[in-house]
Amino acid sequence: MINCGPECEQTLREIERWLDGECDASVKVDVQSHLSGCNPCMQRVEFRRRLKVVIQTKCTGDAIPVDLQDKLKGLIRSLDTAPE
Amino acid sequence: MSKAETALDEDALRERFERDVLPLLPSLYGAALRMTRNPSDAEDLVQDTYLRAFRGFGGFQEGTNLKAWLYRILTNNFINTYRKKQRQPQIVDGPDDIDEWYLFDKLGAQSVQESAEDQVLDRLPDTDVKQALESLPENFRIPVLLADVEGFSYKEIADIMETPIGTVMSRLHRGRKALEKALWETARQRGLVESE
Repeated sequence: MINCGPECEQTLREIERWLDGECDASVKVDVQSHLSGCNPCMQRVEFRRRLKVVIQTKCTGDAIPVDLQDKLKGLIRSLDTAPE
Repeated sequence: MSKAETALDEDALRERFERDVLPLLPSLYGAALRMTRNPSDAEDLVQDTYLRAFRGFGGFQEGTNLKAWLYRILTNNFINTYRKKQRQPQIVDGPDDIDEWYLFDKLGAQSVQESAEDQVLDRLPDTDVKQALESLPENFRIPVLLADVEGFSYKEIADIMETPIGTVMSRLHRGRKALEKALWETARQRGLVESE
């Protein structure tokens, strides 16, 4: 953990939820106000934010097998919707 | 209801399914790949998921969360069918000894220029990041996949995985730390960072 005050510790504890958009409104305000005045915390937050973006962009875009969509359509059209 | 009316309903349902559910195929197939870790199982899993989804589509309430509904079928199907088929040992305990800011600290110790941490991440090939995610034990991999790749909320993930929200949060937290460690190892193997 970085060498800083209790407010930094408090903020960093909330960061994961904050970045996930899952914080309570009051916590959100506290985090934002701390970050606006604390560069070391801001750097960490920015790093995590970038990391999330990297994971999101690099773990998508897999090529779908060429015939899969047509296969699925065919499958669906061959079925009736009577419950199992 | 007459036979003709039933047939009409079925056509409408099928049309709505093709319009609303089929376009989710690219992201669903990607998720299936991360879960099964191989294209042939992923394709089977996706087909099965679409079949089950279509059969249950009559009971799906239009206007509610379609993507979460479909991912719940996918995840259930994977856990109940494919995991057994793949015969992977189910690892329940994850790594707990990873520092809170593992990757930031490791990369920070390396860099001389500002924002060098970001550059290392950017230079990692997609396949490496995918493999790093796939290397996580399943009960950590799925929440990270659902949150960070698919963008679901904690509540949605809890519904998809049928686990309490507190469990989701703790697995997500530990899974992300494990992913940071896997990414560091990958960067090291690629020679993007200097070995300690």
